[in-house]
Amino acid sequence: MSRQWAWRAGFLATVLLAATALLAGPYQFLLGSAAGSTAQPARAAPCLPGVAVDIMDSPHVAQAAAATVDYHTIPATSGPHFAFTAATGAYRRPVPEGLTVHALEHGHVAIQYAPGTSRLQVERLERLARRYPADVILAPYPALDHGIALTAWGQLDRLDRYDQTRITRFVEALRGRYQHGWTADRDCPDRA
Amino acid sequence: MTDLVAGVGVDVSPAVGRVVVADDGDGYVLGRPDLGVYVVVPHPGAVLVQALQAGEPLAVATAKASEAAGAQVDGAEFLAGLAAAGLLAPPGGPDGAVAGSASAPAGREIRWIAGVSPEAARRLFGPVAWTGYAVAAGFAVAALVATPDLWPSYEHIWWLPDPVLSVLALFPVTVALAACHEAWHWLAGRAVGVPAIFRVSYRGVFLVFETDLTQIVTTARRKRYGPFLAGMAFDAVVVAVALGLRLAHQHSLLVLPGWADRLLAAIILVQIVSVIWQWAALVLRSDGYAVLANALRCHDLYRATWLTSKQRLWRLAGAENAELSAISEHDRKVASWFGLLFLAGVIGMGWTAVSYAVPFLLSMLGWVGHGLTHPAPASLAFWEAVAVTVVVVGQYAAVPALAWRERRQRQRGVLR
Repeated sequence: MSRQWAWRAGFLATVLLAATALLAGPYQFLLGSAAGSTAQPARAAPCLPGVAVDIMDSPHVAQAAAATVDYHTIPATSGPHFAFTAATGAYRRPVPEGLTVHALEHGHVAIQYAPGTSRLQVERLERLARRYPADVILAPYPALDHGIALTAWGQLDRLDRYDQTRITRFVEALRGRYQHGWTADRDCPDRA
Repeated sequence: MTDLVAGVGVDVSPAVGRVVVADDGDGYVLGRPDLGVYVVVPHPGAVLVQALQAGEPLAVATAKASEAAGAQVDGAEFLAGLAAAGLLAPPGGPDGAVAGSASAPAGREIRWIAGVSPEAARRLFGPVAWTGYAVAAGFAVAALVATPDLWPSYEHIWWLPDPVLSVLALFPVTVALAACHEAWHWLAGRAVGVPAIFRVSYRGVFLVFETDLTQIVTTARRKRYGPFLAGMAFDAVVVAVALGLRLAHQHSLLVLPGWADRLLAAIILVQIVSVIWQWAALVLRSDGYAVLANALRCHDLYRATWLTSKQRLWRLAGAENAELSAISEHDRKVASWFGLLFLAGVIGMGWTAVSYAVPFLLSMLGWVGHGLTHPAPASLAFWEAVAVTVVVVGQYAAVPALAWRERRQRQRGVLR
């Protein structure tokens, strides 16, 4: 009988341990998947490209409701968004703001360009975006009057034209910085 | 053949002729593929059946079996045992329900596929082909390790900006891939000479593809790996091709339209989750289970593991005790540790659910919920949310209903 109790105890302990490990790690992510993110002041970091933007309350909303949201910036870097997100990659048509914002909340970076951007510049942007298949959403953005906008969660940069160094730096510095919560306590290394 | 009537009480001559005999290494499998009934017997038992099938009278067959055993055996008693196991039932079986559930799942046989000759099928499973499958699997693993950016995320399901359109457009692709996975099992079965059956069927509202490979037990164990691994070999090729295309696209060696690259990512997601599932869902008798049970030379490892685990953690009813005792000592010995693999597999299934299914379902639930609670009947999104609710509620309501039905069938002994 004691042997049977040992099996039972071992089984229960394993199940509890596995359930805790499976849920504790993604807990914040799953909670965020259901609820969204909350408002915070801008998280400025001198070592990061672009400018920090105040973070809006960012709940999940209906698609119809998202159309009337007044975001802090153009394009948005946070705010109400759809409950589902967009896959990373290149899009030839504009991606709804509610989708792009959700992608930023998952740590992705959006590169969006004005409708009048030249074919050559779009091809260069597509070539650059292809190098980051897990990180970048590239799409046209009708509300931009000119140039290119780079957005990450709570961070924005605007370019008048294609600048590979600047875009690459933005993507590599800001991808994965946020994932339903800041992924690191500090953005910049301490100065000696 | 009158002695066959005397031994068992009825004329079992036609039934003996239908019994297949196969050397299983540790023993001999006697099977009735038409009934889905198989038993393992020692060598003299196989000798006796083969002698009867050669037209020898029972007395001569018994003498041959005795010679093989090195001791006197009782041929009539042995036949009575086979009859009791259901092996000598007339075609169709004495109990239509039991025979039907074991051997003939509902569904339609695809005749044009069934017409593929074993010779044609063998071309897909020769040494060159298996080398190709292995290279594809190795390439897929290497590509995913070297380029973690290509590891699939549940986000890839939404490869189009419309969530319903994404799923609807992906659905026929996943159905076609699932059909090919099953067809590869079947073709591999044909290649080793097993008359396997490929069917399109349904479980509740779910469309399923099934490959009936029960007759695989009539082949040598080393020949069974092909049919068991063929589905995953196909999956590996699909993943390798999709990863290769995405890698070429990433490095601008090939420029795909954005939607095509995202569709490939969605296909990689589906196929990789499928392969992980095959090795995790041992408890659901997945392909991985079949490979392991074959490698461990077991005959009824699934029931042995279930019953052994239940005995350890709870208790067995009288019939279950008898069932466990009837399972071979070797299977029970393996089951004593195989339960840990069952548990590890269930944890793997949990990881798959938490990493892929739960975030996807939470997102879709949120999207549908918001769409319905803030209705905008003029928008497509609202009507998509309504449609998804109808379909999903229908599907998930079917799962407990199917589970309840299976439980009832088990209690009635219709399903093992």
